Amino acid sequence: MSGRTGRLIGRAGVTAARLFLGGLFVYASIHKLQDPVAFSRIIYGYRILPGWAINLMAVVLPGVELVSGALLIAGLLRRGAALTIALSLVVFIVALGFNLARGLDFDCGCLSFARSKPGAALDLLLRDVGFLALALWVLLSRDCPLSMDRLLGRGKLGSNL
Amino acid sequence: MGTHAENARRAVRELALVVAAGALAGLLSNAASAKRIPLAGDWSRAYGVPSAGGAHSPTYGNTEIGLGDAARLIAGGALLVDARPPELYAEGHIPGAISIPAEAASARLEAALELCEGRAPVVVYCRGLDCDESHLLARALRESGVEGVRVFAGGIDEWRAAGRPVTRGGRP
Repeated sequence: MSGRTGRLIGRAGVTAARLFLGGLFVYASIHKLQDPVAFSRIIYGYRILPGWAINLMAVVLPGVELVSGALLIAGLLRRGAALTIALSLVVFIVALGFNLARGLDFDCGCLSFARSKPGAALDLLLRDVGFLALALWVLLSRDCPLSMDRLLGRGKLGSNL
Repeated sequence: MGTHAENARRAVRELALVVAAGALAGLLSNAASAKRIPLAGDWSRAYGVPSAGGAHSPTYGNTEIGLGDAARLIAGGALLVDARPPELYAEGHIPGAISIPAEAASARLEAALELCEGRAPVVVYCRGLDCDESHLLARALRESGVEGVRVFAGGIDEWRAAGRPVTRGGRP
């Protein structure tokens, strides 16, 4: 395989990862935006945040998921969106891992409000680690094909981060 | 090295912008939502069942009771209702409880109302302080005219933790 083909595959891969992650975060935000009551209970169930922060998180987090996901799909502020998503995933991984470690029975609430199966936290955590790898790939990649950033002439800026 | 620092600064600046826009979107969406919540909830256990507060909270309008009151009402012949899914009921429920899963409540509401008729008080429970099935069912019953509906907020978790017996299996 020539270097050129390799680069092409890399660019296609990072674009696919960007669209997938963006779509995933938009998708994950919808049910939370539609039902803040249910999502606040999910956050409460994690037993991590203090009471005063729960509603605030239930309101703000899905908005951030929606906006960062949409920006990532559009390829606008790609690094900021990818960094937001990467940090969100780190927070999710820490929260899942913390509750897994202390054996708390809780609902993920990640992609739907359906009850997660007991012991599902480990699978969910590993899944998030995979997503985090994708987010870092998108964040650190030199180029961002098919993106608004590129259209606006910002695509090549900020390489080698 | 200069580019590295510059890129990192730029990524962080963009991050701040993305988070601010996201927070604004979240606040606007909540304000426009039929299920909006106040920005400060009522999650302290000291005040009974924790909830997001506001009229759309499943706990809204319900009367919550603790283990002591629940045990006394049950001993006094109150109708005891397990609002969890039937599988969980079969795995273990408070002795004497009937099963009316909150999820099926709308379908079974007729039957439930018949059972509850004249049996006040009615004590409803689910897993514990976090589940909403007992609240949803209690609300449905109240709104259908059943009087004396109470939610045993600590649910089967608190019941078990107090060393009280549970019954396995059995017909709802």
